[in-house]
Amino acid sequence: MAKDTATPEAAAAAEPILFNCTVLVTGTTYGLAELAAGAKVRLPEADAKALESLGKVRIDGV
Amino acid sequence: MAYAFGSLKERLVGATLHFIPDGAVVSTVTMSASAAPADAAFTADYRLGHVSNAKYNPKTKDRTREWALDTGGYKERTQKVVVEDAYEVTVKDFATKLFDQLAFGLDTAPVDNTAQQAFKAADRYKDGWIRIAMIEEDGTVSGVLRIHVRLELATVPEIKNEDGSPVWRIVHLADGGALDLYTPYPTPA
Repeated sequence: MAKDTATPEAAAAAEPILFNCTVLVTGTTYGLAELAAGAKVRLPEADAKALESLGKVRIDGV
Repeated sequence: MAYAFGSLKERLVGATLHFIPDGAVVSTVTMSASAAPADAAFTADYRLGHVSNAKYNPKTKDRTREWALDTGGYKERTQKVVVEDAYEVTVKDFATKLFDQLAFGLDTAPVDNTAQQAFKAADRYKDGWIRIAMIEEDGTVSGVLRIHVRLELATVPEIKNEDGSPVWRIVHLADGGALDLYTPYPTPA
C-alpha cells in the first residue's frame, strides 16, 4: 500500500506544476532573472503564490 | 565625484563583455526583452572577451527647420536626433561558439562532433542582453552596463597565423525599457 501512494508523489516531484504568470511590477526578481512588467513567465507553484501574495505577479493559469 | 582616472579610455577599453542571447534559460525563466539576467547570471559560458577598442558610432538623423526673422534675415536650425545607439567594439583574440555561429551562418550554436549546414541562417545577428563591465587597472569594477541589444559581427578577422580580433557591432534595441541599466561603482581615490 505504501508503495502505491509513493509512486504518484514521485511522478509529481519529477514534473513540478508550472503556473503561467504575468509580471506586474518592473524590477521583480526571480532567482537570477530580473523581470519587467508584462513579462510572461512560468514559475513553480510555491514561488508563483509567494510572488502573487506580494502583488508582484498575476497567476493566469496552470 | 570625479573619477580617479579621468580618461574615458580606461572605462570602455579594458572592459569585459558578456552576452546572454534571448531564449537562454536563467532560473527557469526564458530571457527576452522583458526578462533580463541579473549580474551573477553572466557566467564564463557567456563571455565574449576583453575590449581592446571601442567606438561609439550612433546613427543620427537631421531635423532642419528654417524660418525668416521679423527683423530681417533668415535662420536655420538643425537638430540631430539619435535614432540608433551603437558601439563598435573590438575584442582581444577570444574564441566563442557565438562567434563561430555568426561567422559561419549556423542556425544554432555549434555542438562538438555535430555537422551543421554552413551559411544557412539568414539572420547574422543575435538579440540578447549584453553586460559590459568596466574594470580599472587594479581590478575594481567601476561600472556595469546591461542593455538589451542586437549583436552582430562587424568584422571577421582573417584566418591567418596571427591573433585575430573580431569587431562586434552592438546596437541598443531600446525595448528593454527599465531593465536597461548602468550601475556606476565608486572608484578608489
